[in-house]
Amino acid sequence: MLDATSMPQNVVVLGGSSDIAKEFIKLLSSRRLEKILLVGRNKDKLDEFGDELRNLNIEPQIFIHDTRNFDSAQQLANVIKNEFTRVDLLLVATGMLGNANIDALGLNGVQEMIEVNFTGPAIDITSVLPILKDQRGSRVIALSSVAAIRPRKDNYIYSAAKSGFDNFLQGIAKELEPYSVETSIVRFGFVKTSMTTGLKPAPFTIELKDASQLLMTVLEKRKTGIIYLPPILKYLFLILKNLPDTIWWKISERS
Amino acid sequence: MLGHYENISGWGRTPQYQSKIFRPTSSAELRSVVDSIAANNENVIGRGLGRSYGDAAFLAGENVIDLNFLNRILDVNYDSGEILVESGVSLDSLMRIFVPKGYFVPVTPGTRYVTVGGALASDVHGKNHHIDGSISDHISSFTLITENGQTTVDKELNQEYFNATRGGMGLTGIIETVKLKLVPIETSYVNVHTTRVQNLEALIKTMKDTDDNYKYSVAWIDCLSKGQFLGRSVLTQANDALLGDLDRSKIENARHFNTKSGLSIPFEFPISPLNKATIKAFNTMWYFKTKKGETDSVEHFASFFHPLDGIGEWNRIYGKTGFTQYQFVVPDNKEAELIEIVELLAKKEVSSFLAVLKRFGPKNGGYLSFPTKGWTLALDIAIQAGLSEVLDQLDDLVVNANGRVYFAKDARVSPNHIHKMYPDIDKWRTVRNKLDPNRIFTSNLALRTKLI
Repeated sequence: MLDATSMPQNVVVLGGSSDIAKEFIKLLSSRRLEKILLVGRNKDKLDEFGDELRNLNIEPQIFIHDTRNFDSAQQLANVIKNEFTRVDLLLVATGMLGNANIDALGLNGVQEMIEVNFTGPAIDITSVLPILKDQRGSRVIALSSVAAIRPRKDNYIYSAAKSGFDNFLQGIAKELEPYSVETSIVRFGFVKTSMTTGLKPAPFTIELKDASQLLMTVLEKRKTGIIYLPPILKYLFLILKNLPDTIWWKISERS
Repeated sequence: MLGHYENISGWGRTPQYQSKIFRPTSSAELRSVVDSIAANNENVIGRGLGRSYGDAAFLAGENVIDLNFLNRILDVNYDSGEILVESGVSLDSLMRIFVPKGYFVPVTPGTRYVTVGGALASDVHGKNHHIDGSISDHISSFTLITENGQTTVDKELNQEYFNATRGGMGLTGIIETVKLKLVPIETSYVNVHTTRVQNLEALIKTMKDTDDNYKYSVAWIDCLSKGQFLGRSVLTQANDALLGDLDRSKIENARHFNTKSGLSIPFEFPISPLNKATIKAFNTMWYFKTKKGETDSVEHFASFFHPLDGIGEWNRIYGKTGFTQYQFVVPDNKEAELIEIVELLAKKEVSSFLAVLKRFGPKNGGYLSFPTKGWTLALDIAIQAGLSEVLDQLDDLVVNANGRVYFAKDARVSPNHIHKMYPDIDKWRTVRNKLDPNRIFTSNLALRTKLI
């Protein structure tokens, strides 16, 4: 159950080895977290995090599932039903960043980028949807990105996928609203994680621990809908979103 | 009877869920609803006027029986003051009916918008706990609807069931009817003695020295003031006013209780006006509007006992995120810990409107009844970033002082703490399981805290 400050007892994480998710879960573990299901494709990384959680007295369940696999996505709902009487928080952190050079990515690379950032997690969420509706009250926090707003030359495939996913999430939020499920779509700016290692930090870059602390505030203060983290990006992107194309491409190439 | 899903929460408006609500209008309907829920292996909890702050009176995604339409007065004995009522009757209607006839409820919490059933399930207390105990001390018997039908529970004959149900948060079954003893009154006024006190230490001493002279006693504390003004407060103590205490303008209508409901908050505030600065200003104003030293006055029951009932749905002021009430009690010899808690609140600047401090008398036999001899402090706190951590720290201090928090206010205490807070939990569980062997009665509170 969620408590008055929205602290969850049972949590399901899609993309369980995401750095931001892991840092956030550690914060939740010091509050009311009891049971957690980690879903992801990298068994070693999930096992490693599972061990860490065991040291924090949380009993993790692990479900190996590549978000591109339609068959295991169909099983996801059953796995959750078997493990939990209720899900208090669904955290969606599935995603990957990568070289956006389209020639280097090739057909497989582009397909993977789109599936892992958009179609995969969209199918996963669809699979879990009936459980959320049935419960009549819970939270969804899904990680989007400011990259969803406008494409840059060096990330437009990622940006396109995230943009599709972001729009999908906005619809899901409306879909779930009548069932008392509150959805937060978090558009993160640049967060220093293993995923962004080697990339040039953007303005208002934040550390991992700040990112997880900001997510905690989203949860506690029941912030729903589209949320920019850090919050200042809301105003920055209000401007950037409305720049004429020529100026946007010039600025985005320079930064 | 068909139920339908509605949004539901406690008075603090967080957490919010949906439950399937049934509104029976007769005992027969109530029984058939419980029977069909039991037959389908579903779960249910009873609900009154929804004034418990947290998650005691709903069950996410499952069934809730709203008892507000079981509100008949079945029998009145004007000699003894004993009445038999259905559980959905509110203290407000009892006051409107019986105060003009010369009877008052034996115990009233800070709002009169609670049902008799809810009051028994939370075993509510009032400003007179140090003299009169809590509401169940004035109840001689009640009936309970479980999956096995109706059970009559008499205070003397069925002590276990009685003690499991008073303060049992509705988890032993649906309370159907209650036999309650009203107290005779001459007027609907109280003689109030108000003392402005500079800090918490002085307040504790004053209350210890003088509480026994008054039937009613409560102090409003400013938990944001620090240093030598830590816990500066306004202490109000009172006794029932007799006819001779009233001036001529009041004496003609000495037992009136036709208080009009005033303004009502029409919608949820988009942005809560309650923040550190406004609350600090309000608390300061409240302190200084009270005359220095001691003053005496005559006040009507409604303004003395239920100051906030004049504003309808005032909980909407806290906006979408809502608020929680933190109420705890620590034993009489733990004044140092009480001061430490108020210090922590002031240091963390967890803004709260005036907190309420009161002394409890001895505990009764209820296994989960909240009041135990000592000091109880209640604070309304807006949900804010970092709050769960601060309240967990308070829990630790309370547990270490052998204290407890109040289930009727709670929506966040950790399951790890409740055994230490309520040592009779196992006894309660054993008796509860006799009344409800298939465990059909449960609530968000019970699931969250692993109470059952």
